[in-house]
Amino acid sequence: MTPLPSPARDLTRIWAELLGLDPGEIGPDASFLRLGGDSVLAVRMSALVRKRLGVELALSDVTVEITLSALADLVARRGGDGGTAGRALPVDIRRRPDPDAPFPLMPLQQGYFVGQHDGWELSYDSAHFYGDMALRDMDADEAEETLADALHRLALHQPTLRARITPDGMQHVLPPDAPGAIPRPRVHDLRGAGEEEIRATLETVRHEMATTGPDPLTGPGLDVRLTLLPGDRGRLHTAMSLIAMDGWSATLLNRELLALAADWNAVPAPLEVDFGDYVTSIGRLRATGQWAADRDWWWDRLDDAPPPPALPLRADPRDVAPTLMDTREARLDAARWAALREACAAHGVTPSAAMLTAFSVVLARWAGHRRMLLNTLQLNRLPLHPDIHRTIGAFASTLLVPVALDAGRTFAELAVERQRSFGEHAGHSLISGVEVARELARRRGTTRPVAPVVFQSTLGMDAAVGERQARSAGPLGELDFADFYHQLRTPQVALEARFWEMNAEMVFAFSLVAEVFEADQVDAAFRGLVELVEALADGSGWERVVELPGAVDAPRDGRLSLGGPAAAETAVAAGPPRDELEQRIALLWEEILDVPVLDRATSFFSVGGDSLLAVRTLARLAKDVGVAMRVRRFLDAPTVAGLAEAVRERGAAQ
Amino acid sequence: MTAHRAGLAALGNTPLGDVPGDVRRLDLAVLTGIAAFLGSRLPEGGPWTADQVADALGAAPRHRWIPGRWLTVLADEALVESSAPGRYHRPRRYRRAELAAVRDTLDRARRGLGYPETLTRYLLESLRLLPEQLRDEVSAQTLLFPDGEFGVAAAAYRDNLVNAYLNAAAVEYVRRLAPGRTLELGAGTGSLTVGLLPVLRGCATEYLFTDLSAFFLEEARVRFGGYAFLRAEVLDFSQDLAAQCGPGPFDLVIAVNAAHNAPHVGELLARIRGLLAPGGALLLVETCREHHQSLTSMPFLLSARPGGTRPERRDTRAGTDRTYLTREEWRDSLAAAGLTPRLDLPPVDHPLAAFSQRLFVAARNP
Ligand SMILES: C[S@@+](CC[C@H](N)C(=O)[O-])C[C@H]1O[C@@H](n2cnc3c(N)ncnc32)[C@H](O)[C@@H]1O
Repeated sequence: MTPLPSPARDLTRIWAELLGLDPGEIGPDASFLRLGGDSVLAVRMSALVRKRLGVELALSDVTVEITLSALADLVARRGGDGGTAGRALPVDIRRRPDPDAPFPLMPLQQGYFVGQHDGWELSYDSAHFYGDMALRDMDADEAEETLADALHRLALHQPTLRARITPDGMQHVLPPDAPGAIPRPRVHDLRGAGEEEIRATLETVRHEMATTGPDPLTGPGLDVRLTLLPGDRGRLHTAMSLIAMDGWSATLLNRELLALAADWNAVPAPLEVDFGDYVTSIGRLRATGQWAADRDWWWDRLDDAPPPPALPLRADPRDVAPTLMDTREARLDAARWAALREACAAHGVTPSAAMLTAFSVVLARWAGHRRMLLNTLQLNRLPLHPDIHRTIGAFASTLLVPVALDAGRTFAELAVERQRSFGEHAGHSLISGVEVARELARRRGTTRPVAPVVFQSTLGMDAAVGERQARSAGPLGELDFADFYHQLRTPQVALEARFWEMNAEMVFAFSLVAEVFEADQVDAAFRGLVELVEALADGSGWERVVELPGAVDAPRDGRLSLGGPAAAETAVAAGPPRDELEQRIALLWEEILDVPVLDRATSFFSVGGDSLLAVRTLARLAKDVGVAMRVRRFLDAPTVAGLAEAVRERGAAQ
Repeated sequence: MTAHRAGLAALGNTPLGDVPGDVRRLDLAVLTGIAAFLGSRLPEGGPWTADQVADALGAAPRHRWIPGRWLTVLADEALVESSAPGRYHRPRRYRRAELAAVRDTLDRARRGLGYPETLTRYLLESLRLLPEQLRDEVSAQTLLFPDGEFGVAAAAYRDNLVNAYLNAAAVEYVRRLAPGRTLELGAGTGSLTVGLLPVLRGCATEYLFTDLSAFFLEEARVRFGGYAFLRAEVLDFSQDLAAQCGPGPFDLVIAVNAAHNAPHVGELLARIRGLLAPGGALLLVETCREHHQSLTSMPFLLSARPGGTRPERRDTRAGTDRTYLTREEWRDSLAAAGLTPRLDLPPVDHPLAAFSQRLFVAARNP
């Protein structure tokens, strides 16, 4: 990676322009004030920094006493490392004339939507994130009204809090005065309760919120609760539907909610665009040459894509019905996280690239081979508008990354290579990874997840968003970041590694389907990750040659492992539809997919069907023939004949 | 059409009956916000002196005078208790629900007075950042010109009922005067300038747009580039004028919400008179009473410049904390400077008078 040009040059130019000076006259240590600036010019200056360098400065950064070198440092720190920044996009964002008009789901939202219909193996009734955090020194008398007030204002500011998903897989935002549009918090008052009751209630609330997430099909995509405890303590619980909000939004939501709670007079800067505007603009991408070029780039490479890491399994993912994902978590304290960032910078890699490398190493050792396909959750949004990174919505996308770790390399070398390769793939991400995965599955003739091991990092977000999360939330009290419980539930994922920042610390976690893995292997793998990350933070891990297995690809030896052969699909004899039901299904497909369906062995996914269309098809079928089918059953045999067979089977059972 | 009628015409048929009430509600909402801020920051016990309050808030030296200013007003409005002169009790605590109601009242009054939504945002933001403003970590200018743009200032000085009225009245007056040379002092965001320039097209030979801060001049050059007769220059009106802009004469001198910044208003008026052609006019827009609404911003703008000392007033305001002159003081000062009143609007019994923003025109006798 070439080092970023220091911002000092651009800043000198901005100062020269504002102060009417020659760039040569501006020394690094003279203050803005000394050079003739005043406080109004200082405001203008920070606006120019934002416009030209894309860096947001906090209000309190903008003082007249600041020197050019201090400002350059600040700008460098706030800069972040957005992967798509710098690439000119072939579309621009436009405000939709009607902000309440329905708009389509993003590809990943579709995935979650279908997952909620039990469409995949490893799916749940809801895809959501749940977290609760301890509060101290709460003003219990005022906490509820404060939280309700904050949530109300946030829902006015962020339209996504008023979003709903329709049964046919579209979304829209309710106007603020529509009944039920503004989410309200629920309060569990345990101030008078004994220890045992508190423990039991907390467990019940957690279990309930972690296993039945908010569902934007029926209400807000957000569930906020407050537990009041004795001694001015409490807990703030939030559950967020992943269909409505992504991980970046979760961080934003927490920050904004708590900022609004802290101050009755806090007013977030208005958002000039909303999620619907973004989705609509992104939709226009598909008609551009750049999008087609990205698609072709991926299509050319798909046949060489490796399978996922062959992690040993104790149960076939299609045979388990999990309700919760299991978690392992660790942290790097503020000092070690700062040291890690510095070490990354010194080796010319971003912290995210280093963590992706570390996770890959751990997986290679666990799976026994060095080449594998990973999925990454991409939380950075296409920079279509400066407000986009402050907007709550389900912007996230995925990006498939094939990983091949060379033997005999140091960690530093592996990380540099990972960063290069990741950048190359991310450079072709106008087409969503969800669509790429769909095509890969189609080519492999499978409906199983092609990349169930996921990497997700929001490292660098603190810098990108600017100000740090405040500690105090007014009458809600002080947040105790050390006492934080969280749960993720996301379909089609067997194992997900997450890295994020909280209160200047780095937190990382595994979320996994415990039913398919051996617990001691998960423990060992996570321990391995912790050791590696710590060695990278203390500097000792970079120049050592990384120990890796000899095998490049998984020895598929018949043992149960991730990405192993799918259960044999029953072959269907080709030919025209055989009976009335098959004919009816063929006609329905023709109508929905707008292509001729002449053969009963035609696979839904080979003629343009996708999972969302599958949900719609089954909804229509339920209406027409009175038989409600599960999506998953359809995916097992997604042919005309297969569906007819399933309908008959189901009909007989009903 | 008289200037007054022209002013009213600009408001269409907006009902004005609630204006005095809304002005009062907006003022009290902001003041209550200040009381709530002090109530949450001051230590228990007391009563406290203004100095002790400034200490408790960690006020920067140049802003130390401000808490005292607030406390005086709060005591007047019975929002703090003052048991002995100069000694104040901590204001009571406000519940979140009460403050949410204050926020709603503020926004409703804002709407009633024709201000755009940004004003609510601005007032709340300046309340939220009182601690930072006092400690000099955030400047009042940052809040007033977010991103270096004029949105808030425009709301405060132009997009509201009274300024729509005053500006239209002023434009009508100037249209009939048809001045050749105009000098604008403290022209800043040019809230009146925008409306004046079109009517000056036929008659004007020069419009000298001046301000102390170069920030505004650059903006004006771009924005008013279409008017060849406009020049924008730095001019400090607390110094000798003729030395900076030449001896005149000018047919019209304008100062919109600026003249009170002069350390001595009488001296400024005398200098202006010296620049006026016989029959030439001075047009002032001035606030004649400090509204509580501006207590979260104005005082900070009036503090000394960083490292400097606070500008002393040497006129009728000497020895007080007052920023503005009253209507009577302006009339007297204009007369004392040998300027004859031509306009004094709105009429004192009109609902718009509740804003206490006024248009004065006074002429040098031919
Ligand atoms: C409240 S603003 C009004 C601005 C403008 N007339 C308007 O209506 O938008 C006051 C203006 O007076 C300017 N000002 C203050 N003191 C000044 C001085 N001594 N000489 C020149 N301008 C001054 C300030 O820079 C500011 O632009």
